[in-house]
Amino acid sequence: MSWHGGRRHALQPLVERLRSIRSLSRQPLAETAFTVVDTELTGLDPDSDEILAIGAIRMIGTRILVGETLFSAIRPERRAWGASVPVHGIRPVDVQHASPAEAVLPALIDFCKGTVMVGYGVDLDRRVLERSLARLGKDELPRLWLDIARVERWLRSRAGRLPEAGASERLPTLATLAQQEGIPVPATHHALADAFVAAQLWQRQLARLLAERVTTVGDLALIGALRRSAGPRR
Amino acid sequence: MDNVVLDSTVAFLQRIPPFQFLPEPTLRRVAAQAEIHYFPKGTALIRRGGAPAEYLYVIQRGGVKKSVRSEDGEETVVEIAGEGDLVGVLSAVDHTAGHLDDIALEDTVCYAIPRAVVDELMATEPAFTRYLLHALQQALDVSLEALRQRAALWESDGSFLLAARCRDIARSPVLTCSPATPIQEAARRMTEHRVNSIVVVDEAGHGSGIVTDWDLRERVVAAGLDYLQPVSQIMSSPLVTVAGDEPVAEAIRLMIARNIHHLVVVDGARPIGMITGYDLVVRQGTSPVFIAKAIDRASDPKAMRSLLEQVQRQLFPFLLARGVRATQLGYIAAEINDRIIARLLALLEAELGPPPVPYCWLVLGSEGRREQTIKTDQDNALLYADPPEGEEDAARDYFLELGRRAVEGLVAVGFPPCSGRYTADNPEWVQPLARWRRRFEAWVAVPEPEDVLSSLIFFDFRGVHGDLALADQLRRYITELMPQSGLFLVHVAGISTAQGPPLGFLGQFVVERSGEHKDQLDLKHGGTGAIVNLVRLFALRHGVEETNTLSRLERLKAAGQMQDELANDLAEAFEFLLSLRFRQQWEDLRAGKPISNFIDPRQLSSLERRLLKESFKIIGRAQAVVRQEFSVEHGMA
Repeated sequence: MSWHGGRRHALQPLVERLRSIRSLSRQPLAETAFTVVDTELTGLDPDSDEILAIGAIRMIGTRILVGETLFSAIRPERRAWGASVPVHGIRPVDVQHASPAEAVLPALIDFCKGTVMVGYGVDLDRRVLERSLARLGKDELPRLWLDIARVERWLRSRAGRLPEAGASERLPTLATLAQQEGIPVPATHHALADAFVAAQLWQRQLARLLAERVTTVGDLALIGALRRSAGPRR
Repeated sequence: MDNVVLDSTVAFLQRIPPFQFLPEPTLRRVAAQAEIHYFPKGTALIRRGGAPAEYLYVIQRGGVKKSVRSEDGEETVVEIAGEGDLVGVLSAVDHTAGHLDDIALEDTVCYAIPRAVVDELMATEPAFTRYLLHALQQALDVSLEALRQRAALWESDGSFLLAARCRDIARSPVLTCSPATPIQEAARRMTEHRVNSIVVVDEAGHGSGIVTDWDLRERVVAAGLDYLQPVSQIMSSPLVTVAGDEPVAEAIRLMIARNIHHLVVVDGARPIGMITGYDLVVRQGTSPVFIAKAIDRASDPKAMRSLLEQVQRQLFPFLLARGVRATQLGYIAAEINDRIIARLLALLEAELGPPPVPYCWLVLGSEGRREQTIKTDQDNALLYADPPEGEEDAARDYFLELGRRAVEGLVAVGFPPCSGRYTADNPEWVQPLARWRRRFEAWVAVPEPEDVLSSLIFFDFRGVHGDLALADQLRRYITELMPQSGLFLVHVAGISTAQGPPLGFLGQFVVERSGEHKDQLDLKHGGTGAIVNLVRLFALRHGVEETNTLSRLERLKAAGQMQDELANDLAEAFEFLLSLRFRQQWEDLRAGKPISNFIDPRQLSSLERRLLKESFKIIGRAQAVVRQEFSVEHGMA
């Protein structure tokens, strides 16, 4: 089959991406680099709310790298976000001297390069992050996002703790899960602290997944925990 | 709060030795290179014999079981490590294979410090290093102790053999074949496996008979039987077996009762091992009690010589390999040498007639201290009771002859004569009690430096045969002399500090520059010998009558005459240096080389090199203490 020039150009990147997905999907989880990420937001609307703080920590397989973290407060464009202050305790006055998103996010892009993104209920974080980057004309975050809330759901249904019928039931919050797992919670709703707790949860989940023969990045997609992002909505 | 991950790591490590000894900025750098690892229950942090660990682990949460498995598969738990404990010290410090199985007892979270970071800290942080090396020594001791308890069935009193279970000494696996196997095939397999028997088992795996070399000779070759006949034609049946849990004594009883040399050890009906008469003889041969009894029965030096060789070539390596401490080995060696001397003297007394007055055979130097290594020169003297007036010459003639013949006999047994002629064939060292007293008086009262040096060996005397009360009397006399011996002790202090340990200014080893021992270190001169001298000085000064270095240290410590820390450090350093000397000498002996006290530090593991340096530093510290104390007291540097 041959392609016409225009179509060929349009498809070439897709073909290459498919190739990279194939090779990535066979990559062993034990050697995969992860960025466990958490954000604090002005609210829960992925289409309008902004980032107030971001925390991230690196893992290689089940190893958490204590020294490889990223944390930054961000000054949003809006001036008020009263409703969410009780959740994360970040008031406008707390970030009035923080850097704006355009000064912070490039460092995040560097930090995440070549990794699989990980978070608890990470869809919201992803959409706000991608939207913020798109506004800056950037689209360089990794595309593979792992939601460890979904991993938890799968592990619980495996273990018979969560019947399939109840799979739609809400999972406990990250803090509650951490408590059940005996993971110390240094501070709640602090972006790096939450990312650290999520990393420790993912560490344990990954050990259990490996025992269940879920061993490659592709396997994570098969259990429904890994999503490929289409990139920011335009 | 901005870096909650790093801060919480620092906060945790800050409470944990040896990290608590690190300055804050260093600790933060260490924490930044740390990782957090998770081990589900039942998984291994480190495997015994596995690859060297890449990390030193600090348990943050959970528990780890450290254990060893003996050759027969029995597990001995060495330690249960909990939160804040270290795992993998040996492997991380020494880069050696894991020496214990470290298994998570429950889901366990650890801070993992990469090996490169540990290496860097070991090079730059003395307090950190000291703590780890100490922890390491303890860890080694504990695991050796655990192994020792398992190995105890072989040791010490000879009852080991009768109390051990058959499965513990059986050779396994057992060579087996089916009843239909052709005779020639069975014989071929016996040759291939270098055994002289094969057990015939049925389909169920139950032993039904045995074929030995004897059967092949008598029932096949001599009888002209076809080699292709099945082994069932010639096997001895039914099989004589013993259950694995039966004591070895039962195996011996069976062998004697049935007049057989091969006994199959079974688990139920399944053969699991074989005990042969030969095995029992060999095991028995390494029993100290067996050797002791054999010495007591020996009728001439030649018989004793072969026993001594057996001790050196079999018993010592056997005990060393089972983690017996070098100092304990010195005690065992002393027991055996003492017994040889006693037997020899008893034989000579029978030849020469009974001694005219009571006497006591003295051993000097390392023998006197019970610290012999494999190479043992003779150092001995003879002390006899003051004879009644008019009988002095007759007594002297008798003991000179006894001394001469005894030293000759000991040479024949395999103890080389002492190069300095401190032996009882030298008339100077064969004296009645009164003259020995005067001799010591002279050494102590009018000390000439070179006399002091050569006399030191005598201060470690110990009576081994004859009237031991004579030796006690002499010892008490020396203790009484000491308080008026100021200058003598100053000379001894001078000798003990004259030469520092072989470490350069930068802490590097100072090795021989040329000659036979080029690039090697003298473990005796700058090492064990230096410690012996220092400890003897304190012992003489404080009236401690023991001669053994560790016993002297114990007594000095108990009486508050030496700081606990210094005494403990010296004891550890002594033990380590002596064990290195033992090992080196054993290797020399095995390689057929002349036995020496030299080692090449490059052939040691990095851990051993570190321990060696630490030991030398301890000697340097003790020498500094001596210099200070004696210059203060006597105004002399």
